[in-house]
Formats: sequence, structure tokens, C-alpha cells
Amino acid sequence: MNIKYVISASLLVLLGVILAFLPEKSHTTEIGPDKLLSELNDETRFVSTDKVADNIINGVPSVQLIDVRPAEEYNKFSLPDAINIPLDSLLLPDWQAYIDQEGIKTIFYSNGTVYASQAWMLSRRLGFSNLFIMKGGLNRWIETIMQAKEPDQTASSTEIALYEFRKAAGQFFGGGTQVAGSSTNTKKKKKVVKKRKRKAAAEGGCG
Amino acid sequence: MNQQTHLKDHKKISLKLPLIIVSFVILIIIGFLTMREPERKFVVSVDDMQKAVLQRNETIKPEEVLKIINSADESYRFIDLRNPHDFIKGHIKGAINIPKQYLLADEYDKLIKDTSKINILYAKTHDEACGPWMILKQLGFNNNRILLGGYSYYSKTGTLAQNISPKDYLDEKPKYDYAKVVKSVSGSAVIGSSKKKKKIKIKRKKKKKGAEGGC
Repeated sequence: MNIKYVISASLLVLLGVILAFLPEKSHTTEIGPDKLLSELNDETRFVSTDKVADNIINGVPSVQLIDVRPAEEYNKFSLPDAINIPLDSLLLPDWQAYIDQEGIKTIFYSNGTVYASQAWMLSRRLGFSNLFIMKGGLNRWIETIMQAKEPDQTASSTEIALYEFRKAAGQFFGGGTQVAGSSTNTKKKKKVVKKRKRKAAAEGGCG
Repeated sequence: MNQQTHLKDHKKISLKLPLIIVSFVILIIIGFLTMREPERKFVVSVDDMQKAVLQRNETIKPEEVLKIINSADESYRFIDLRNPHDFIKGHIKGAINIPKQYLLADEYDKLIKDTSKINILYAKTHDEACGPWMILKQLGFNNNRILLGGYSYYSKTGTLAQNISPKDYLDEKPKYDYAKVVKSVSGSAVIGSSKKKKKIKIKRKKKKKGAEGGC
């Protein structure tokens, strides 16, 4: 009779040991290929230059802009309050804390759309959420906001309203202020970043 | 007598106890073993993928594509990632249409796994083909290239090599001197409006609760 209890107890211990080792392999926050591909079809990850301009003008606090271009390009010109995280240092643990903030909408931008999309893909694979891409990048920023084209006389009222917004926004962003603001240090704005503890396993990716 | 039946019951249960526990253990182990594993997994780590992205050498220039088309080079295969509607309206000769959402579908499994040819991926723009390329790359396929400029550029230039110029199809090439343009915008406005600095009034859009989530 006693042996039975010993056996059952040891079985439970064994189960405990097995359980302790089993979940390890499936315990990652990384996103798999199928999910990532389905997200590629979701166009809501793109943000227009107008929306970004609107966010900056209104000082929406829950949004951060991340400039993924190299530092020298960032120093020449960047959008107000943008943080510079060049694509080649995107995965450094220090920067990850900036990107991985669920409560803050992170918008990546570059000169075009490609580098920002790449930054999005890499960060998204790591499981970071609330990430967006400024469609068209700075090239489109200049074309739409700084050099807004006057619509035809036959344009609809929404087009005219958009033009008026762009014109006003262009004046808001125009002038020496942005240029003068291009300080030498890469971090313009000190932000308190909630550092999330990452396990070492997260770095290695999916083995 | 009462106590006797108690004992009996106890004995009955204790006899079954190991059996119960064993079945319990087996059940849990089976549960773990049959846990659904994702069918596909990335084989390239995020860090390696970042390096591959930074190398930027798995692209193909429109002028090279023209050469491939003109010489009917059999070692290349064009994959059109746009939707069938756009594909029917026009595509590169000989291209296979795989709408990007079906990239990993069983239907195209064989084609994707056939690495004997080099796939030239294209969509409307460069960045649209970039995501699918990254997914395939991370799954371990190294035979894919992205058409720079996408189909929109290709269709614009037609088949005329002399119309092609890198500054038009490189998405990330700055088209403007940003700082200069930005400076000029208000600079001219200020100078133009005599001495008085124009007061810029910006209509602030009222924020509705829903508006933020919008984009």
C-alpha cells in the first residue's frame, strides 16, 4: 500500500518535471510567417503624411516618430520630435525599448517607403505592436505638405479642404526652425521609456 | 460495521489511485505532444535578416530585367504579386500571378520550393514586394529578387532602356534637399509678406475619440 503512494507521488513529481521542460520551445513572442503574411495584406499599417502632420501640429502625445535613416541624413533634416533609430541599429536592446511600447503608436519613416517597411517587418516579427509606416516617406512629405499642389477649380470640397490643411501645415513646418533644430546629437527628445524585460531567448530568434 | 465499509471504500479508492494518476499524466503528455505547432517557421534569425536587409543586394534593376526579357533567359521566373485584376490588365511577359496573400498557399508550394530558377518578385511598388521577399528570405529561400521601381515604373518606361534612370526608380533616394525646401517654404512667405511676419493660423481639427485609432 505504501508503495502505491510512493509511486503515485513520484509520478506527479515526474509530471512536474516534464511540464517544467516542455513549454520552453513554444514560449516565444515571435510572430510566424503565416501571421506576418496576413498582416502584409492589412493596409492599415500605413499612415498618410497628412495624418502625421496633423499629429505633430496637434501634439498628440501617444505617437512617436522613428526616423530609420542613417544618422547623417537625420541630422540634416528630420521631422519634429522624431527619434533616430537607423535601420542597422534597430535591433539593439536599447532601441527596442523605444519601439516596443504598446501604448504608444510608433510610426516609422524614411526617404521612401522601403526602409520603413523593412523596419516594420523586423519589429513586427519580434512581436512588437502598434507599429505603422508613413507611406511615401519624406519624399511624399515634401510633395504633399511642403509643396502642396493647388487643386483644380472643379475639385471637390474635401480636396480643397485637404489643400488648405496642407498649405497651413506647410507654413507650420516651413522656415528655419526645423533646420536649426537639427542638432548634432541623435536623440532629440529624452523620453522615459518603460523598459520591458526581455529574456535572452528572444534575441536568438527562432532556432 | 460502519468503519468496515469505510475501510473497504478507502481500499477501493487507493487501488484505483495509481491508475487515475497515470491516466492523468498520460492525458497531459498527449495534450502537449499534439499541441498545434505552426506549420512553417522562420529559419533565419531576426539579426541575420537585418543583415540581409542591409546588404540590399537582392534587388534587380529595370534595365537588367529588360535584358532578361529580351534574351528570354530561362534561368529567371517572374512572379507578379498583385491581385489578379491588375495582373490581367497588364503584366511582364511570362509572369506567374501569385497574389501576395497566397504566397504560402499549398497551390504555389511547389513553385516556391523550386529553387532552380531565380524568381523576380514584383508588385505595384518596390515596397509592396519587399514584405513577401522578406518572408521568403526568412523561410530560407535565397533565390528571390525584387524588381526595383515595381511594375508601375516598368510599365511607365515600357521597353525602352534609354528611358530608365536610377533616380526615378530608387524608392529611398531623396528627391529633394529636404532642409532647403522646408526653409524655402516659409522663407519666401515671410519675405513676400513685407516686414510683418505672417501669423500662421492652423485650424486645429477637433479630435474625436475614434479619430486616433483611424490610421
